[in-house]
Amino acid sequence: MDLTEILNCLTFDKHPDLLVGIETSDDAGVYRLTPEIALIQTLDFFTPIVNDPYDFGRIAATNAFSDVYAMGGKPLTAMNIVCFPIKELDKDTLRAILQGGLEVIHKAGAVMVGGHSVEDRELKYGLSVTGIVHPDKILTNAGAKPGDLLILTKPLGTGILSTALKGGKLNEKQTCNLTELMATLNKDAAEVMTDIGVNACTDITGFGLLGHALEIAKASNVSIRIYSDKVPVISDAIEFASMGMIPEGSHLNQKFCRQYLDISPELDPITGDILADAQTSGGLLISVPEEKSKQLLNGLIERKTPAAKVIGEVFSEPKGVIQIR
Amino acid sequence: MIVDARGYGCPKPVLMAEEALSKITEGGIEILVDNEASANNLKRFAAKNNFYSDVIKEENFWCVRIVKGYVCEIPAEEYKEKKPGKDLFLVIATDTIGKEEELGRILMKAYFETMKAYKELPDAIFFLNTGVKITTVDNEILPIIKEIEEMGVEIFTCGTCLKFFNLESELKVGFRGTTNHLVEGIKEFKKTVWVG
Repeated sequence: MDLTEILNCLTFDKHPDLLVGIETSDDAGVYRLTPEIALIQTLDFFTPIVNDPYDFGRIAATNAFSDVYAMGGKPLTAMNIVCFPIKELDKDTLRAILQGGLEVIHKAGAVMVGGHSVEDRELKYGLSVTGIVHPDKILTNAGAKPGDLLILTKPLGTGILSTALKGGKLNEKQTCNLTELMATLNKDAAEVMTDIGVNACTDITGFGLLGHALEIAKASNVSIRIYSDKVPVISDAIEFASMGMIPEGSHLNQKFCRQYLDISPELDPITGDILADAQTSGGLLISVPEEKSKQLLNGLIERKTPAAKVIGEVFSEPKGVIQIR
Repeated sequence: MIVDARGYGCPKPVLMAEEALSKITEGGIEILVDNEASANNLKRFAAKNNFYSDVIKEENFWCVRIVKGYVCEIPAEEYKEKKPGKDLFLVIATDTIGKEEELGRILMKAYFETMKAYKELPDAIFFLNTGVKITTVDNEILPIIKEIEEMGVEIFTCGTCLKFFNLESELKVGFRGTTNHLVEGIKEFKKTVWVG
C-alpha cells in the first residue's frame, strides 16, 4: 500500500477533540465541537465511470455521501470538486454533471454551499461532504464484537460491471441497473442502522468486501467469517467475471488481502474475484449484535435497500484474519 | 500471431484477444500484457471459452498463450477438470531436508529449483511447522515458490504455525491454510508426499 507508506512518514497532530483521525483507515474524520455534536468531514472524487454526464454526477455524489453514512452521521452540507477540460468538453456536459450531483445532495437532505473547479486534461468530479454525529454514537471499523452478525446492504459486482461497460459488453438494461445501483444513497440503510444501534460499520468501496472486512477485523481485533454463498451479487457479475472483465483494482485487492485470508479449499476463483471486486458507491457493511439483527434486517427490507443479507459472523480468533467459507 | 497489449489496462487486452481469436478458426495467439491483472483476466476469458491457455512470465511483461480449436478431441469438461488437478499433494513440514540443517536448507532449495526446472510440479503444496519459514522470511527459496505458484500450483501455509512463529503478517506467497486443507488434501488427492 503505497499511500499507507507515504502517510507513515508524516507525523500528525493529536488533539483531544479529534475523535477519528487517519490511523484506523476509517471512512471520514470526526472532530468534537461540543459534548453533543461532532463534525464529520470527507471528500471523494473520481474520473467518469459511465458515459452519461448526469448519471456520472449522481454516482460521484452518492459515493461521496457514503462515508458520512458509514460513520453513523447525518450529512448537512456539500461542496463540488470539479476538474474539467474546458477546451475539449462543452459547458452542457459540466452542467449535467452538476445537476446530477445537486439532485443527490437534495435527496440526502443536505445543502450545496459552493465548490471549486480547476482546468484539467481529465474530467473528475466529486464532493466534499460535512455532517454531524453524536460523539457517543460514532460508528467506526473498531467496534465489531465476537458474536456479531455482518449485514451487507448492496450487492457486489459494480467494479466488474463497470469494466464490462468499458468493454462495450453491457446492454441498455444492464447499464441502467448498474447506474441506479451506484446512484442509490446509503441514506435509508444508515437511518435504520443508527435508529437501532449497531457496533461497527464501513462502506464498501475500492478495497472490495474483502479489503474493507479486513479493515474491520484489524481495527476491532477480531476474526471475520464470510459465507460466500450468502453474499448478494449483481446477477450478471459472475458471467462477466468469467469473461475476464475484472478491473485491475480487484486483482490487486485479492493479492493484498490473501495473506490474511483463510479460504476453504473448494472456493472457486470467480467467487474470489467477486468478494475482492473494487466497488464504486457500494453498500454498508454493518456489524450488529445478533439479538438486534432481525430488527435491522426487517428495517432494511422495509426501506427497500438494494440488498439486506447476513453475509458473515464475527469471531474472536484468529485475530485480523478473514475466513471464507 | 502476437497481440501486443502492453500499455493497456483492463479490459482492453481481453477485447484485443477476443478480436484476434474471432479471425481464426483454429490456432494459437500470444498476447503480451504488462500487468498481472490482465494476464489473470485472459486466463478467465480462455477458460470460459474452453480455449487452452498458459502464462509465461518474462522480465517485465506476461505472455499469455491461448489456443483455439485444437482441443476438440478432448471433451471440454475433462479438460477443465485437469487444470486444477488433484494428483499430487506435497506437504512440507520442515525448512530443512535431513539431519544436517545447513545442508538441509541447501537441499530444500535445490529440490524446489529442480522441480521448477523440470516442471515436475505438484498440484498443491502445504507448508507447516518450520516449513512456514519458506513462505514468509526465507529470501532464498521464496522467489522460487512464487514462480512455482505462477506456474499454477496452489500454495497454502498453516495459520496455526504462522501464529506460533509470530509470522502472521509475513506471509508472502499463497493463502493461509488450516488443518482442513490438510485433511481434505490427503483425502482428495491421488497421492500425498510428506517432507519432514
